[in-house]
Amino acid sequence: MAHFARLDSDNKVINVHVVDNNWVLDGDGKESEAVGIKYLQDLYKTTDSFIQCSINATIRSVYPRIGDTYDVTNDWFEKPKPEIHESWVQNSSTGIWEPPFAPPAVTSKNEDWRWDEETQSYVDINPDNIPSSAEE
Amino acid sequence: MSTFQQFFPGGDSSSSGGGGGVPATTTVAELLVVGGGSSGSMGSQGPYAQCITSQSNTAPDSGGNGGGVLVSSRWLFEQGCVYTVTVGTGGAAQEACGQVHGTSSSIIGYNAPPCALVGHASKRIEALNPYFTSSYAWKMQYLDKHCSPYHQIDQYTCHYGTSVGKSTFIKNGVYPTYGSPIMTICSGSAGGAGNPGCPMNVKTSMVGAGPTGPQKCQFITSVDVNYGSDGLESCISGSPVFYGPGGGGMNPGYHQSIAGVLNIACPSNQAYSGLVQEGGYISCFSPFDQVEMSRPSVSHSGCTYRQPNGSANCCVTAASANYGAGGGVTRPGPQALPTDMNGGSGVVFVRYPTDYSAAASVSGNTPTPAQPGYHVYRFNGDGSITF
Repeated sequence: MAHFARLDSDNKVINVHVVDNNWVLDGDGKESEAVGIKYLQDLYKTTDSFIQCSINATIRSVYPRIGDTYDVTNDWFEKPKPEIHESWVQNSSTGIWEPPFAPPAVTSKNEDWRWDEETQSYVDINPDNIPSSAEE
Repeated sequence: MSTFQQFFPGGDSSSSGGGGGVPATTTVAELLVVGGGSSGSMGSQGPYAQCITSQSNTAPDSGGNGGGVLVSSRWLFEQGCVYTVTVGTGGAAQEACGQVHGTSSSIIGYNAPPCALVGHASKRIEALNPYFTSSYAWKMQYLDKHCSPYHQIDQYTCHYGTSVGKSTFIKNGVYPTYGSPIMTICSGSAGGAGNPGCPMNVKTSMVGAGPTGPQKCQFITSVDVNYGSDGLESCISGSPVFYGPGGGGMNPGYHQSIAGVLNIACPSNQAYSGLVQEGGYISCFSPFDQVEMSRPSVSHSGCTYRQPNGSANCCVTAASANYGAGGGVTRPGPQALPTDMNGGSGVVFVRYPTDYSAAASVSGNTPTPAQPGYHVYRFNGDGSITF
């Protein structure tokens, strides 16, 4: 399946459409974004902008949802910053929001680091590292 | 031109699809219209389950709802008219709380107004919990429901809404690392289609002086348990298939203390404990807390299960496309953030006897096995059909 985000004039995603792969092939039998865009514009009789996306996020960084934004300059879709992670920063290579610094190295204890916004640090939550007596 | 005139030009209510006599210019067809499934509902990307909800909400790490399913055994399509087919997409996984619903599928054209032949995506109703005041544990609290209720279009055509599975409370206990007392719950319900309503019943109580006092955390006192739904079975493809199955929950353990709710994430301590297969199981991560429930196996929905080698990694099966399946929830590995999974896209089937002519034109359809005595058109993506 080929997926296309439909954009408004501010490049906000207003819908995501799915098209059977057989209907986005060019004359050489190769998948073509342009063919898919024209197919959807003809089908819905619209001049709205469409841009291809991937449900597996193999292109343009992320699979967009309605309300996300297409960044023309970087050619990727952007999601809003997670509300519960005010400190997160946008990865300049992917546009994805991430903690402000990388987690500590994993040792033989196989730590499972999670970002804690409250303390601005990583916390190990691997249950295997919790004493067994803690279960009682 | 009014909406009625646009879709029923020159006609009255007796000429609408599924009712009255059959004009010679109509094709009577069976329909299956399945909306896109919701994404799974992530629990937390931090150490605490910020996304856990209360007051009839969806628990964190729940499977996504399946898409709503419209079934018609008899709809009258006007020959020579173009009908636009839209296939709903699955909800996109996100790095935030709650499910993301998919989009609706539909057939729109003469005798088929926009509100009629729709496989509805589940809907999300959200509101901030007015009792939220803690700066530590309960960052986000939603009144979070995902409903798309049953309703009947006519005597031959019904829409089946979506439902939400539930999670379960496991036990009280002591968890010195994070404070005492604690409650351990095992979360991760399975969503599903085919049933109306969406109760969740996560009940909480306040600790200490309540929202304005020194201790502001809420404690979960009980969480009902129930299955998600398998979706709706149809043979319109030529074989029985469930459409709109709910996604599997992830089944993390949650330890709640004064400090908050700790998201343990992947099942631990035993292989295949707390497996979530096919959107059908919910259980817990610990042999001490084992609660395992299953429902009939349903293919195509997203699910999460633990690798059998005892590692902390979780394996993931994405929701299949074109079944309206709900997504699962996962944490791909010890260093990976937990995330919900995309919902699966919907599908539209149109089938009618070969007594009628084949469609005059069709676009966007997907080849489907022939069924003797029927013309069958399957749409895995947007398209159009002219009878």
